[in-house]
Amino acid sequence: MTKTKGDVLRGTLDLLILKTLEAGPMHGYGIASRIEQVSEELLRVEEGSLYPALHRIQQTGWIRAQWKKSENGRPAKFYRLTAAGQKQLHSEEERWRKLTRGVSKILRFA
Amino acid sequence: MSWIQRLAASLRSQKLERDLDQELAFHLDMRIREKIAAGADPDDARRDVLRRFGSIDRAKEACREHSTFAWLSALRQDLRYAARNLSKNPAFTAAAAACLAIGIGANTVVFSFVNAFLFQSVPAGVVRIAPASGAPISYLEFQDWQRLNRVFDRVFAYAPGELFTIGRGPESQPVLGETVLGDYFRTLAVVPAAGRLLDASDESQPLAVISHQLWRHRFHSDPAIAGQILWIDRQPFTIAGVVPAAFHGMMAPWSTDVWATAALHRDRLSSRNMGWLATGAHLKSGIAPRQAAAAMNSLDAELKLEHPGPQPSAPDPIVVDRPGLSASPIWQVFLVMSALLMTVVGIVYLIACANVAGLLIARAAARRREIFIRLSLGVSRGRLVRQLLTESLLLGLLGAAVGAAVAFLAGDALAALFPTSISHGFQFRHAIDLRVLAWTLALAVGSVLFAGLLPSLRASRQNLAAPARAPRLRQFLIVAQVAASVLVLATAGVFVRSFQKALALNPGFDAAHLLTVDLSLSDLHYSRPQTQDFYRQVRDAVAALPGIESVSLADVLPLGNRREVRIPQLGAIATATVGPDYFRTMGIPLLRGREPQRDEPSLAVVNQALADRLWPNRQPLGELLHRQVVEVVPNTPQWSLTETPRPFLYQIATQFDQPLTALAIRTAAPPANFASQVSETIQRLNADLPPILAQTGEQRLRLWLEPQRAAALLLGTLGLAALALAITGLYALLAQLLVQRTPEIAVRVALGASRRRVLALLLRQSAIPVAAGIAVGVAASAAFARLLGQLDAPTLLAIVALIATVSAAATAIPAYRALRIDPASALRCE
Repeated sequence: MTKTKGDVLRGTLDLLILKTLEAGPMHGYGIASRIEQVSEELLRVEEGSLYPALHRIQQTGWIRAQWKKSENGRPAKFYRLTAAGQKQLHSEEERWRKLTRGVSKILRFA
Repeated sequence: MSWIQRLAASLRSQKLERDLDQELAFHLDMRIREKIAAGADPDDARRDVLRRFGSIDRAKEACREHSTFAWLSALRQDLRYAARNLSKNPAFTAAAAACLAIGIGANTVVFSFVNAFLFQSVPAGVVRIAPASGAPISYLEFQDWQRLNRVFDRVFAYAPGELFTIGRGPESQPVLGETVLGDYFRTLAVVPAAGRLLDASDESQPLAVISHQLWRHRFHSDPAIAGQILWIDRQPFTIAGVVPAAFHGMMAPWSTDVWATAALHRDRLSSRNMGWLATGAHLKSGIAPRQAAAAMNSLDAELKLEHPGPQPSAPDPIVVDRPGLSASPIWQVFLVMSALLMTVVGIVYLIACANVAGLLIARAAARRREIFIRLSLGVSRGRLVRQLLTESLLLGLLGAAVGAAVAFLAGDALAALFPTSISHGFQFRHAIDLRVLAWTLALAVGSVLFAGLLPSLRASRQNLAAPARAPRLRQFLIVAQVAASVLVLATAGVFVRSFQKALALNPGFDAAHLLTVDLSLSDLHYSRPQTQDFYRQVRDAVAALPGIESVSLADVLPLGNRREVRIPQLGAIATATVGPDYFRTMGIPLLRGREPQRDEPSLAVVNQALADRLWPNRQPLGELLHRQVVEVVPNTPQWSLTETPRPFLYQIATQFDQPLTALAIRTAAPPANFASQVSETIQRLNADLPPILAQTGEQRLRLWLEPQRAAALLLGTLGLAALALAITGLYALLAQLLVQRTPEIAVRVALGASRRRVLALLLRQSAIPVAAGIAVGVAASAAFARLLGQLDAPTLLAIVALIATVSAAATAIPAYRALRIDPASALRCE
């Protein structure tokens, strides 16, 4: 396996999933494609851990799943952000911003 | 797990699997299509996509872990863990489960008795109609009410608490009966368990309905019961049907066994003055009880104008209210007793929970290392608390199972303690039904909260830096347990004392030298003169026996007497017709006037209460119902031993012509010696007589003391159970406190403190929470006793002394053991 693209940092996958779903309900494949597309292929979702993550987040109540027809007519499992998920997303974003600010300061001065 | 559950679980997981497969297949397909669209070879595309995805099985497994049913497997894990832990410590498990079994079992037993009656619900809209004085009404009045009222759609009447003799000859059996009129069963929404029930159209037929119990025991649940003949007081009745087991009639907490139409009381059906019925009704929709009462009062006024009594009577307005339909004299007592018993067993349950809490704390201290390791390995606090609570739940369920089984057995033993009947067919019924089981289960779950929550929260908060010690919580537990046991023992003390007092109660007659016989001549079909003649023969034959001092006839004897007569201006007055020798025979003393002579009929004797009402301030005695009143006697309880004195009229007669009459016999020696001789003498006069039962005065009294005896026994037992629980709890708590202090004790001893001084120090320290508990308990008992009646100081002192001694022993034994340990080895242990 060539590591030309950056694998998603552990722990940030949840944030990316929630952020992606903020745009509207989407199935797993859509989420993965969209993360890659929006990050201009800088980030690559490790697909083997995407689905366990989706199931895990579903348990916390931040997202809900529902079978619906996909764009090409095949049924697919769509995930949707709940109100609780929306709140979680905001606090995760805040946390992430703080973290990156801190890390970049250290990179600049250390 | 039943096969249905297993199937459901596998279907559920099958659906989950299918969902997962489809979801992943969709993803892979989309990826492959994407590659092919970009111009890749289909086979290459597939290989690439699968390689990029990695292990599909591992992804699936990871998904499964987060499935909705993960908590189920966690629960299974917790249960397995808890079960393993409990079985590894059989001594602890047995002790805790035994405590809970006592606590829960006591509740289940009491509830199984209370349940049957408190929840016998009366349907909505059913009301009681009664004169404010509570006087019974006559049949003709009832008929008028039934016919003329405009506010009820169904009316019924009943004469509860009758003693029926069912069967004939040697197979006859006395039971609690009830004469019912009108739409009794339909209004009370009773549905038949077999056959049909009586309704308003059955009034003139000799029909009867029997209880579920009687059906089972006497008729072996014969499905073809309807249409069979039941002899009631030597008259043939046809059985119409059987009531369901949950219906007990109008004498709760006693259970009625036979409901009959008025065919037994044809003589009463033409009288407007003979009051013998209680009435109930179902309100028409939209009518409030107050409107109904107004309507009934104006109807009553009209009827009084139409049928004026011999003399204008005192106003006695009619009251319409929700029943309280029980006519039993002990119903109020039963309600109070139920509330009290439920409170007491509730306290016993809390003591048991406190015990288990103490045990759990002690065990958490022993398991400190294990818990600490689990916490360090990253088990979350929530999960740990959940695991510990699961243990409490298992303990609770174990205790509940044992408790329910014990209750089931003890319930029968307890019911057997009341001789199968209190006063013949009067039975307390109990049953373990779904409601009782639900209650038991609720208590088991409650024990998780009361016993398990604090200890498990505390255990999960431990760390090795601050060694596990919970002296404050434990001392609080000691205070609470001591206080609760003082309270329970004091309550038991009140009842044991009041039973002792009731035993010493003056029944108003001399029971020690009294023999009584209830005679029924119904089988002999005598004419009135023959009846009179026969009773005279009986009296003379018994009086001629050696050792008999005097004999008197009476239509009813004290206790259980409900006969009433209407006296102008006074209303319904309780009465009895008695022979001239009655007072001497019963040992009822003379207060005023003179005793009636043998040949003086048409006289009357009144009790103090009636004399005070008619001729206060010792005015000369006058006439009553055309009878000269010659004597005043003390107030003798007529219905129950504890009744408040009420006016009573004795009508003196020398001739008795009713087929049911009693014989009072005064004996020189203990009356039991004469019982068989008297029975044989009477039996010899006519072989067709049913078996003659001679009872001593004390036997008669004992029947009326049964409820009090049962209460004293029950509460005494509960008091002992509470004491036993409290002792073991105290012992465990104090012993545990001491074990933790063993190193400190060892240091003290090693430094040269005398063992006796250390022992005194330890005793002093444990005495503080015990004394606090006693103080709280005594204060609570004093407040509680004010509700219940008197609690005398000696009883309370005895209880305090008992608790103090027991707690001292509970400290001294483990303290002594702690002192005997070699200081060096105790210190090495740390």
